[in-house]
Amino acid sequence: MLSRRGFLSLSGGLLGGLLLPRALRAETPERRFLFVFCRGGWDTTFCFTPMLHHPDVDREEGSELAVAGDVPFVSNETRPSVAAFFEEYGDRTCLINGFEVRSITHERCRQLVLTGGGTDDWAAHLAAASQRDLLLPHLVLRGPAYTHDHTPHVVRVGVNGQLPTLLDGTALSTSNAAVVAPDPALAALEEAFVTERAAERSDSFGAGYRDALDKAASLAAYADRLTLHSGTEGCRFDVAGDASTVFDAFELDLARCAMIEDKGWCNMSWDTHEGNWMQDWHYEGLFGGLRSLMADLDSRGSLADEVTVVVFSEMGRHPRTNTRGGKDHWTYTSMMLIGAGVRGGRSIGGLDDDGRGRRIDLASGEETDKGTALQASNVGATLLTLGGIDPEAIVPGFEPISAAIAG
Amino acid sequence: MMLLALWVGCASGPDALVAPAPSLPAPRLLRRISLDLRGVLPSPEELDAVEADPTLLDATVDAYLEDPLFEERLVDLLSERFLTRIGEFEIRWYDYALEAADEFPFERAVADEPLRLMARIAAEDRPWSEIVTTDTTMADALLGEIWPVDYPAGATGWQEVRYTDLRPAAGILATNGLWWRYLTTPSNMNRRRAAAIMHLLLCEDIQNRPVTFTGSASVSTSTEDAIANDPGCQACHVTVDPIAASFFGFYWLTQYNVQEMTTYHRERELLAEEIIGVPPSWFGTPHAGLADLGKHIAADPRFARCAAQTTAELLWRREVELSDFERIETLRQVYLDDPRLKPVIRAVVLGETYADPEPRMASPEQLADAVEALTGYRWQYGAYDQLANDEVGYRMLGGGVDGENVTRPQASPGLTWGLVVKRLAQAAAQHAELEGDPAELHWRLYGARPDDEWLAAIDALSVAAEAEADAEAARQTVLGAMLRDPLFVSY
Repeated sequence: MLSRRGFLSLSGGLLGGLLLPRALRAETPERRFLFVFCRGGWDTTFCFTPMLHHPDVDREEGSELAVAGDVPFVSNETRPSVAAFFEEYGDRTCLINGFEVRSITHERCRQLVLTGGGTDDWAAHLAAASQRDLLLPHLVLRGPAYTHDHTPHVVRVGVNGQLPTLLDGTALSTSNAAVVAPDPALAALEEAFVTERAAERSDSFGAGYRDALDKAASLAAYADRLTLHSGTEGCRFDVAGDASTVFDAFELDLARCAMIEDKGWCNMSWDTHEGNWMQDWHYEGLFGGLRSLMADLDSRGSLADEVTVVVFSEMGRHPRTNTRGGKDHWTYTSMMLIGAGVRGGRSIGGLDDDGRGRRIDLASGEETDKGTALQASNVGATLLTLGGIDPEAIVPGFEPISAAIAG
Repeated sequence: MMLLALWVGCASGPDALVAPAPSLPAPRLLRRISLDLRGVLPSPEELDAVEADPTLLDATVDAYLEDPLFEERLVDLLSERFLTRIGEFEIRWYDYALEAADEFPFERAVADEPLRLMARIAAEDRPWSEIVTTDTTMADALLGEIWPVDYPAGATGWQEVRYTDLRPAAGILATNGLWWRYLTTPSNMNRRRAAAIMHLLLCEDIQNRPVTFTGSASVSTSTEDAIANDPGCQACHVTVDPIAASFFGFYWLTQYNVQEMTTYHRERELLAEEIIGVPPSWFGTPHAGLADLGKHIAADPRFARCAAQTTAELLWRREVELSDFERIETLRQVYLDDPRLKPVIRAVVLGETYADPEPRMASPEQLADAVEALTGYRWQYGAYDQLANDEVGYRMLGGGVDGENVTRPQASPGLTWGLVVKRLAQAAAQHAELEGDPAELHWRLYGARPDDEWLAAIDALSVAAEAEADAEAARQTVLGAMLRDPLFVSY
């Protein structure tokens, strides 16, 4: 079990920020998290967990083991962006391999990998724990979000960027019956009345409504500095473009967490029950996007010191090819942690010859039979710790993978 | 006194043996019931009557359950549970050579097929078990045109019809709409569907069972061998696979194919044992196929409990907790005494738990229906209902469920919900022909009498607005503000 001292040590100065007066806390940089969700279940043997010489695992033609920034990965000349990414950012990247998401259905695995089985996901917890009064605490451009206790902290922009149209009133033009934007002076009167009415309420609904009105009014002031819209590049979701939107929001101190989504080549999904070769295209596209994303982040000065990028999929794929040339669901998967707070140049854990996750020593990251069999909650505990939250309160009994956290 | 009177009215509910808890005033409770059962506000006359005599709530509930709006509202409620209203299906409107304007009507019709069948059975007070045994389904004119159903010539709107492709009598289990939502793949072999019906109809979430591969499942073992032999796999598959074997009439050789996905393939029922390795059965009792499966489900004790639990969760607007055990048991008994849905709904809304004074946030569907009934304005854009879609509209941002990324309705206000409410109110105010003095409107819109403070505030708003603009613009401002009032958007 992680000791209190250990937690304080791991979370470093971040937790110290929690103890400061609010005015001072607002000046303290807070770690931010960009979640990149790869929908469908990626095949980790194509990249993170080499099984190149296993007699029962089909070897992809041209694949070989490579190392960059001390991170071993599967390289293939058909996906040059993977090797380029690790060469450029491997020293800031930590792979966590062989952790188990204990289901084999997409819906349940999505929930488990993001919540560990709870009602609110890691991002919602992190957003809710922010010491800043953020307008978009967890900004969801695309992808799943699980909230129950922290719902008001999660803000979706809409699948086609509808939030800005609500803010500026152009939503009113999406009406068959003609509607015009109210006169600003009248709108202000209306707003004041409603705000006052919400403030008069003593129940939680009134408080939530008042908060929502305040935040909407404040967010409108950022309309000319922020494009709240998820994009596409060609026939796939634009990971780099969406990340750029998120980084804008981070720079404006509007958000602590964000979710974007990659759905593979031409949005065909990573769920390759047939034609598993498409994982090659999916990885090339993803890592191309990640390279652009990281270059963008690095161009934004000190923001790179605050942002942890979390790249994940809801499940892995069985290492063995099925009769249709695809691969079915597998409970063991991987996650990439990149950037702030991460002990880079590391690959922790892996798959054994049976395709199951290896046990590891959480502190050193070394594989040992006496170590911990990683689960999604260990990964969640790691993220919470990176964010300055004691994980024991949220995933009791699950320790963080401290080997993944910069000391 | 009010509490006492209300308690008399609730004495037959599932909480009858529990000490009275704080409760909504009767008119406000009537408003909640009306919004939940009909999606619209009660009339001022109904509010007057219940204010004068709260025991009239019982009779009013009975009347609401006979209101045609009840069936429509039930479709919305059930959608939160069955999650069929996803953005788009594998088969799109253009696959049937429909017009682009049919996109949203098509997606919504497919999604609503199983929901409307359940709502029709409930509204007509038929045994709830018919949802898995009837030989009928529901279709509107659009589905009547493209699906193999006997939609009556010249009819309009939703009609109860029969498929003409020899599919078994199994209620929603035999609907395209349910299985287009819960797809399967050649390797999944209908298992997802088996898990779905266990969750939806028995409230048994087999997907929540922890899975771990510690037995024989490994790289060296084929998936099929592992499923057959590994204890970790068998823990679920021994239950799921025989149920999945019942769905092979919906086992499509390929997705994205109109003919495959439109028609039931009766001949493929025989392939089940060959493909999935086990014959159809229900927890050890062999059966002949989908029709038998429906009968087994209907007779399963968990079906009754699930009906009670689902009804409670949808109307309490929260998930049941361990502390609700006795309440759910009471509701289950109501169902067992009279196995139709209306008595259960009646027991829920007349129960103490339902009358909890903590306000509930109106869903986008409730807001759309209530505002339309009040003002005549429906936020539509082309064929899209703007509070019912996420492609160009605002359903998720308004706290609604998309069935995939959001699977339960938002329970507390958030930034985007507040903005959706704002724009809906502003649009509706421009089209409303709503007359009455402020006190009357307060009663009609909120189910509560205004205090002097509110009357002064609304008067001040009116005066200030008239100072800025003409009388019509000022009237719209006041009405828009009233439609955004916390008392209107909560219930």
